[in-house]
Amino acid sequence: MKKNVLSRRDFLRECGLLGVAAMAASYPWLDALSEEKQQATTGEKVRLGMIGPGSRGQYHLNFLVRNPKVEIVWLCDIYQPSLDKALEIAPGAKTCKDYREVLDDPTVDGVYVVTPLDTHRQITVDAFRAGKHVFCEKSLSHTLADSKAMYDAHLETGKVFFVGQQRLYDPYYLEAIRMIEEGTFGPIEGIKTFWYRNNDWRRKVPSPELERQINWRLYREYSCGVMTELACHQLQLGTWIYKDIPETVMGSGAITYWKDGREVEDNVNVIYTYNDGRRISFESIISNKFYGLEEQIMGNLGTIEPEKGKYYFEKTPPMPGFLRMINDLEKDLYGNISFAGPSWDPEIARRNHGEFLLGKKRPGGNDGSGYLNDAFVEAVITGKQPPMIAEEGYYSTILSLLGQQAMDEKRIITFPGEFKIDYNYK
Amino acid sequence: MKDVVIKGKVIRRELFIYLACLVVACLLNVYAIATYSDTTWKELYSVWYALLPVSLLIYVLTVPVRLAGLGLWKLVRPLACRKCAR
Repeated sequence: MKKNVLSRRDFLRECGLLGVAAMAASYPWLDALSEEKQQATTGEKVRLGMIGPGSRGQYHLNFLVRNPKVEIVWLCDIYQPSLDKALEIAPGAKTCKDYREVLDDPTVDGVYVVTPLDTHRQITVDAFRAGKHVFCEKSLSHTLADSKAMYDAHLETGKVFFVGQQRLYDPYYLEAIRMIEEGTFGPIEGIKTFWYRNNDWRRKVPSPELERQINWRLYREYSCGVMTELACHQLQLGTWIYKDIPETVMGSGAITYWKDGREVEDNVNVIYTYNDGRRISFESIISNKFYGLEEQIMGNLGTIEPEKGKYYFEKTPPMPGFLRMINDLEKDLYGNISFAGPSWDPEIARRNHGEFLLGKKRPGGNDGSGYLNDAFVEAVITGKQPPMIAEEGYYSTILSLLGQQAMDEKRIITFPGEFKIDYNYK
Repeated sequence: MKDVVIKGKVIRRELFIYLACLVVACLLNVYAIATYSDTTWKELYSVWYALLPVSLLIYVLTVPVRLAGLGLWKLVRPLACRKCAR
């Protein structure tokens, strides 16, 4: 079972947020995790239901069962093996196959919606209307209209709405954003994101008729593949950093390697252009994993790679004088010997080892999900929606879906006005 | 095959010569720190990884110089000794 590498207090200290005032000023959506607010809700308990506890749902369950303010009262899934595994994590929960049983239970305070994307809208909107707070895994949905309907239902009912965008609670990302906003790297001129893998993304299917149910990510009826499952995490940085939404989207995608009957692309490249010309791009090829996954945030003074947990300044300290002297000696000795060769030195990417964000190597296994879950629990207790959470989740979904549309229609898409929301960027 | 015996006296001499080469390398480092811009005196010790090979190189360069000097001395010594004998 994964544990948060940082304790709550360590997390707050790392982000320079031990004081409530600091928290509210820098990252208002983290306010509920302040020590003061935590103490105010000590002894409270929320009753939660999880709808669709497959692999991702079980991942969240592992955090929730460790929170003394949580009681998992319902597990709902149409696939019995997932239900059985979830029961091992939360053995006291009731089970059902129809999510409406969970929503009809008046003692349930909030639900997790961790089902395939095509069911998110129905379940989430029904949950809001039943008076439940909702944590919906990303992406919100596989259509623009459904995503908007979910966000509108949240506004209409005033219920808490969290989306599974854990970077908003990842200390390394928080530190990267803090440094960016302080101007450490100068104006951010471009963001290049990529997510490379080398596997077919398939899960084992016990019998052929379960293929579409289990491997739903590969079929357009349920998902948009890498755009809704991977891109939306990274595209969220565009809104967070640029504090704006792009004007246009263009992209190209195809099935180039895994020709196994899937309907979603395995090779995509999408570019989002903002009105001042800056861009965020996303590329994913799932038949080569050499470069892994990263977001390269490029400023005039430096670059940040939050997945690696490092940053690099453009201006690197000069070599020691002794080494420069040896270099000069070599140039003097060999410089006058003519060889056929180029008359210019190319600008090759510098070897720059950079510095660690937060002063230490990024530990594995802590992507902010634990704190995200804790924050949802606190929000359900208080009934207060933290700023930015729903909006960042909404826009990351819209951006990923627009990228898919650009690939499908093979044209440059202008961000449609009907999907813009009233969002006060921090 | 004959045994080669390196006398302690020879070892001490070579060590002393190497130490002198190391001092020369350190003095070159001081010169570089003083002459080049954007340097710090911390480099007196932080570039030890470059000082050691450079001092070795200087030591190796002394070998042909010393051999040449020895050869010259062997040529000149009979003349010099003849003068001493008078």
